[in-house]
Amino acid sequence: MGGHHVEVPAAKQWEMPKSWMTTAIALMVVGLAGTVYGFVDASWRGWSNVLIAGVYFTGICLGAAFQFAVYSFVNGGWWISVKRIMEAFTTFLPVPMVVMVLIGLFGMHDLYEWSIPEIMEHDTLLQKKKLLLNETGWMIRVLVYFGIWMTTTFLMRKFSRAQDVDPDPKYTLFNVRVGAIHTVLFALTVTFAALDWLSSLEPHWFSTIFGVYQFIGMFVCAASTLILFILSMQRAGYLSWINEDHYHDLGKMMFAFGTFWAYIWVSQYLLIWYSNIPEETGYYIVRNNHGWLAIFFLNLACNWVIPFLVLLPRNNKRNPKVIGGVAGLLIFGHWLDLYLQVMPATSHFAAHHHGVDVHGPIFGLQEFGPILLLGGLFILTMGKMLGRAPLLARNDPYLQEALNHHQ
Amino acid sequence: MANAPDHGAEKKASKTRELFVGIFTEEHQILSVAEDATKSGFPVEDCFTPYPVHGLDDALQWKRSFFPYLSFCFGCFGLFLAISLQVHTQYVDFVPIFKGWPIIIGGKPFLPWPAFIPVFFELTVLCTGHLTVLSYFIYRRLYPGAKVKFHIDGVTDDRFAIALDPSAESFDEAQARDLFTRHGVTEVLTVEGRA
Repeated sequence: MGGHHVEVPAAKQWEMPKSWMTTAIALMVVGLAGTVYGFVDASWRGWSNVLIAGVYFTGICLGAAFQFAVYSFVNGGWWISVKRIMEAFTTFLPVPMVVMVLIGLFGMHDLYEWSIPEIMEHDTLLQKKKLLLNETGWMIRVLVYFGIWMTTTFLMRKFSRAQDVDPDPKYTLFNVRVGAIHTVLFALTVTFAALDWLSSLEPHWFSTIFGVYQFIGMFVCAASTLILFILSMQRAGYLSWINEDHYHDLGKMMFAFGTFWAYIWVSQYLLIWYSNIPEETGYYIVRNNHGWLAIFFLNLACNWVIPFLVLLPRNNKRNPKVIGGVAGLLIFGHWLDLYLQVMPATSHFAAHHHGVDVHGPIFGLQEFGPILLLGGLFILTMGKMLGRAPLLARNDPYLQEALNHHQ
Repeated sequence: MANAPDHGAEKKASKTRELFVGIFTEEHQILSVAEDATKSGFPVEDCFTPYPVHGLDDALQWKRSFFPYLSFCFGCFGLFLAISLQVHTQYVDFVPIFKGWPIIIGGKPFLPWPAFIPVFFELTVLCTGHLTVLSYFIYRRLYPGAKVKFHIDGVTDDRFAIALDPSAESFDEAQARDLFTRHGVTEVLTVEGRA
């Protein structure tokens, strides 16, 4: 994009603001109470919400990693101004890994009907899927997925920081390769992870677009979280180089991929509705009845209708207050999306196989426990991890382009 | 170019116009000269560049184009077209003359809204895209048979031009030449064209 040479601004060394600490601790206290209450109330309810939270935060880390990888190998410029925040996001990956491993060790029988041998024995269809649907395989795959993601994100972070010390652009070129490899591996792993963790909650149901649907959900969620962190950091006096042109790009990301989410949502719904095969429609029949219909439409409104209409005018994408509000709506929307995928399935399972009396959506402190607990932990981790590297990648070859950015 | 004040020349002058043009070879030169000229009150007519230069609108202090709003209207029109087309043909059979033909397809109800969505999307996008481009061509007079107003050599190739309006009161040729020279002008010319 050329233009004038811009003086590289001094990046203040990051220190976690007090407000982050207070928020994080408050969230964790409430979240811990909710989590414990959830497990005391009913183990299926506790585990369902732990699963939602685990997948949600895996998604934020992976969404950030994917953006980092893609912007690297398409030689993106503007994102250098915020790349350290994306790097910090990816350091959170071990936490959702622990959550998923805990589910694999203790929570399977409350979530996945295929994990119960008696059900498996009497179900011919499930027996045919035994190669995929078994607890050992599930656990091994969790470790493989996280192993891959943590390796590639570690390499991307490493080269990005090596560039800070040594101005030789070879490190940025390394990241072009690592980013490309990560993207290919990510496409495969995220599809299988989506099948393992969410789709197999209803093991008779299948949707070939499910992996893409998960991917786009996590992308939008990560982009929204990124915006909220940038706004919060700017309020605390950091990131002085981010201006409304950068907001515009972040807003465009959220707008475009929020719409892509709607596209994938419709693609999944429309084909299932059209072909009307009982094995496939079961998923939507549950979610259109028993009181789930309101959440079904709220999901669409939060994730697409409202963000689309609000972000359509140019000035709204350049206004930090508006994109902050939409980002807040979208991170709630993604949680609701996961809630609508997990809860109808697990409550149905609990009602039929564990004899629990549960019909329709339930909302209580239990539902917000694990997500707030991990949310607090996420803020706390970010507060620490952002200080590990300078907030501005000083030697990045694209730095001038990022600072001198016109939309 | 002293014009003889006879009747014929006056008549000719009403149909032609002159522009005072500075030619530059670098992107940053055109950006800085455009900004400088606008700030110091020169009567800037337009800039001509071989490709869209980022930041030139800001440098010229131009207001945002109204085209996004036009696009939005075209999009709404396309959506309206799609809704009325499908609801009419699939559902309505009480409109005289243009009678719809309700028909059961695949056991779906008469108003199968999910099936309408792809057409909603397609017609919205189609109308937005095509009508915006067409109206841009009309607005900018880029249609077959449109007469060329000004011809400046090289601006579709590798040269950047800024044009001032010499007939404006605030125009002063010496100052304009000085301005162009300060920003490294390659060539200064007077271009004549249609009014």
